[in-house]
Amino acid sequence: MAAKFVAIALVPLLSLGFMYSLVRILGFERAALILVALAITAVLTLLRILSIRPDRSIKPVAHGEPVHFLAVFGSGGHTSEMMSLLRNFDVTRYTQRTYIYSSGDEFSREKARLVEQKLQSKCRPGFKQTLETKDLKDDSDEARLPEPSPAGRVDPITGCWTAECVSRARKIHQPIYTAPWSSLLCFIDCIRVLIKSKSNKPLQTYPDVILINGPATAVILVFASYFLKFFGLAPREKMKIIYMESFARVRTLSLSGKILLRLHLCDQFLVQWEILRDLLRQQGYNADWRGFLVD
Amino acid sequence: MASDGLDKELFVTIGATAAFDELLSAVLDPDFQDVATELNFTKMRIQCGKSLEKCKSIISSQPSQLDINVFDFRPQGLNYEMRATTALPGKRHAGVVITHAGAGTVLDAMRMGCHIIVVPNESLLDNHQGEMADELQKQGYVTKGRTSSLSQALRRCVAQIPTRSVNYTWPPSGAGNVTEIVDEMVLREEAMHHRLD
Repeated sequence: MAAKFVAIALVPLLSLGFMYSLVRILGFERAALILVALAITAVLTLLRILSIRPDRSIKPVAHGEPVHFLAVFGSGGHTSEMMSLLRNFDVTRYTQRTYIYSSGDEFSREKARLVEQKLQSKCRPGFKQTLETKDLKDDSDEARLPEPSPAGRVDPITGCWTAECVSRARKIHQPIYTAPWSSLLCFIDCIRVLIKSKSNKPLQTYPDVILINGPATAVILVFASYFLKFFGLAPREKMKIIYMESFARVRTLSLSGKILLRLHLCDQFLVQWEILRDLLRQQGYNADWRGFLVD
Repeated sequence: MASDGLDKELFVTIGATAAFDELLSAVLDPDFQDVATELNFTKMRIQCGKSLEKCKSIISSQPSQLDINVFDFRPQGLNYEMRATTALPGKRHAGVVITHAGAGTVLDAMRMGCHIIVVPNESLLDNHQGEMADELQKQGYVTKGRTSSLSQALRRCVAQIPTRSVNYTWPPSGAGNVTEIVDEMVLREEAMHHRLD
């Protein structure tokens, strides 16, 4: 609380000091010109930010049109939850699927292929029953599913999927003072991948929706999507952000969740426990609860 | 051996990330194993991570009526061990999975329809794992146990097996569907009307 008051008091003090030194150094007229220019930039930036805020009334896809989704794979627990969250997608309707994983995480790249294998086999007849008829010895469900279409190749039924690598936002045990640098590299990579995904076949659009659940890379990707919208490179109705907090979070949010919720960057912010939704609503945050999302 | 000659398995897992020696000593305790034998368990498999050698030496130094099997990790997952605790008519009774409170492992076990005792690792600082165990117990999906009183937890869990098998399936019927949520977000109005027709 005290820190907040100090901060609020510091802002006018610092700006007064800034203006005073400008006038002293440059003379009144030049200083006034610079200040007016700064003020106009600030107002325009603010207006632009307001205009690209999440707005649920604008939707990117017309009825019957195919959808492009993008999902971010973090590491370990995040990845296996994301695999579960993606289990019901109909690849004949979501014909373009972009998966993002972090550098040095070939495990998650393989998981993207596994997700594709499961989703694609659902729309190839004859393989539906494999999961029900088994006992102890049949441990390798995946081994019996047909191979998915290779990444980057367009299939007439299941469309196309790609797995893109971005530089990791923060390695485990990475010293905190290098985090801004690695985050910047990650940010640039995310922008590159988003722009690249726009030219991928078959849909050749930015992702309609971005599905994320917790890893730091996902937060950076969200910033990257807003960066593209801010400069008019991507239409504002694209890249809807759907955040799904981990099943493991019962009463408190993860750090990523806190950041994204406080900055109001998500079009849909879901938690998996009713009690967490209620706690957040008490704090004035609009989180949504639709029952458990993982299986 | 159970009176009818069928197997009944206990599967204990501590996960891949952290050590959990308190749980391992709790299940290797002779008193706990006596209770397990009394409840007709025949086998116990233990995933014990880096404490494998420690566990082996404890097991070899004390006799047990349970057939005990230990291993460190399974890179391909624990489906086999978990399925071995589910009932199969004429072959085995429903057993119990005793697990650390890692969300991934608990979900795997619930999906497979196992009867589960979740034991939060109290030496880990972050306590949201304990909260998850509390809530899941409140909703009837698992039994929450502590390393200091694992025998009682096992008795409670076994006593609930008949009702739990009937009333709880995972995922529950009211579970959210991510596809629907995404459609709401991306598809324009006319699409929603169309779907209602």
